[in-house]
Amino acid sequence: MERSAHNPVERTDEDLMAAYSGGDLEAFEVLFARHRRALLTFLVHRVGEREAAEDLLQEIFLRVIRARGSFDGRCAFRPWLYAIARNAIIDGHRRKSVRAQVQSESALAVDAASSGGGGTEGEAGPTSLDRRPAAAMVGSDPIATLAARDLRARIETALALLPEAQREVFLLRERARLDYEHISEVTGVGLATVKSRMRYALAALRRHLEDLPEVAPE
Amino acid sequence: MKHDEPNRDPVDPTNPKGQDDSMTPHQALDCEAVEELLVDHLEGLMSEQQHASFDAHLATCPACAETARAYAQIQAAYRDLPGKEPSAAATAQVLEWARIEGLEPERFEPRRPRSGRPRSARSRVRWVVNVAAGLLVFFTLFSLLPDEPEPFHRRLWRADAAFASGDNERALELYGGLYDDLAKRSWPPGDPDGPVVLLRLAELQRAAGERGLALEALAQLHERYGPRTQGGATLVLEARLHEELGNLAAAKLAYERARMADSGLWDRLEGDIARLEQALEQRSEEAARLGALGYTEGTGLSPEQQDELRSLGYL
Ligand SMILES: [Zn+2]
Repeated sequence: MERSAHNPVERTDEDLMAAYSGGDLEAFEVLFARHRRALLTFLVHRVGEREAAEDLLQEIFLRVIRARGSFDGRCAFRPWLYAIARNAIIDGHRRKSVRAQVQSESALAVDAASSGGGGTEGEAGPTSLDRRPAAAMVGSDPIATLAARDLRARIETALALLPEAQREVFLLRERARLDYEHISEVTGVGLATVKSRMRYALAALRRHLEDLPEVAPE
Repeated sequence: MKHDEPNRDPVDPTNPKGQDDSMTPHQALDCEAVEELLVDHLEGLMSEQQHASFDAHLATCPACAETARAYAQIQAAYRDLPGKEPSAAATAQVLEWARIEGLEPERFEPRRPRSGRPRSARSRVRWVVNVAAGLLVFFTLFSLLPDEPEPFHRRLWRADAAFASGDNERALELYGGLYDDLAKRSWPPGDPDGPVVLLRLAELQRAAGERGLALEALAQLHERYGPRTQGGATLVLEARLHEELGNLAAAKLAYERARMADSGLWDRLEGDIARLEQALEQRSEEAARLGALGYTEGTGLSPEQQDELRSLGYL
């Protein structure tokens, strides 16, 4: 892993975090570059809304920045990052439910159009998905764009149908790429429970994907 | 509350985790036990004994075999979903925080002890303004320095931004620079940015009418990063390029592979494949007709015309 101490691209996450704590800004930039896509995708799939996910991404990295002094270099960076992410998501839920309460009490008359739509639009809405990645993957080719989005939309829809605890384990494993021991630490539940959640998640995804249109029945 | 639960709660009757101790060799597994092992199977976490029993069951139980296959497929399909790129605004915000927080207090106030008297709100505002002004000057100077090599990830952001804004010329230039950089580093395997650079180059070359170069970029993508990059999208791009170059057979093949790679494309590419089949048929009919008239394939010229051109020194 530690081939060259000079090339920041080849340094470990833990080295980079330590370097940033010592004032090396470029180390942080590399760290951010390395984790931004996986974390944002994780968050979008976790909370189901692009806007909220982007806000969370910023908040999580701000927490990382502020907690840099307390990062223990002997621990792995990724589980630490996703533990911070988990706390931020939970805090976000809390804030959101408070906000929702306030809104339902006071703001029934607010212009719905100006508020930009609610939670269900989320990832499936063309405005959020069209921002870049689809164009980036398939250029201007409309058929390829549609098909890629179609596959993406099917998987993302199936994910959104999972119970939250199962979705969390699935995403920590398949997007964050944490091993099961780390997932158990981050979520605070036992290893066997983590694995059985994963099993239920896979079984449910399979069922949902078979129910959704456009999957080859074979 | 977080660490109260033990790591190994005894939920699992077949004890897939206690690999080393209690399992007798070649113990026959039933469907339920196999089901419990599927996650370990996906992750390659089974012991050899478990593997043998697992495989033995799958060989005789089509239902479990089908489940194992489906899980592996779902896992692969999800892992292949491209990552989402944060907006430029979010990225800028995070990096700005990193700068400002990272500078405080060590660099700007090295003599002030951490436990020192807190700054008043007002002086704090002034401090932030000063830092911001200083940073502005610093980064303006930084961007004007010609020899300072800009880090790879920063150039990738600029290239992505140019691509996203439709500035193809600039994007092509920037991705071209990144390509050179990757080539110099011999294409580090597993690097997530390499495939992006190659795919973008292919798209941009195609948009610039450089189809040969675009195909070259796709060929490199497949060669350097393996079959994982052969998704429906890249194969459709390849098919389009071949079709535009008149390589009808290659185009048809690529469309067919795209369909195999992504079942969602199955119906959508039906028309393209039919069109190519028709064109290929027409082409072979035309070749047969010309052949019957004495034309040679390739030049489209009759033997007499060829003789004439040869006598004039054109051939
Ligand atoms: Zn079975």
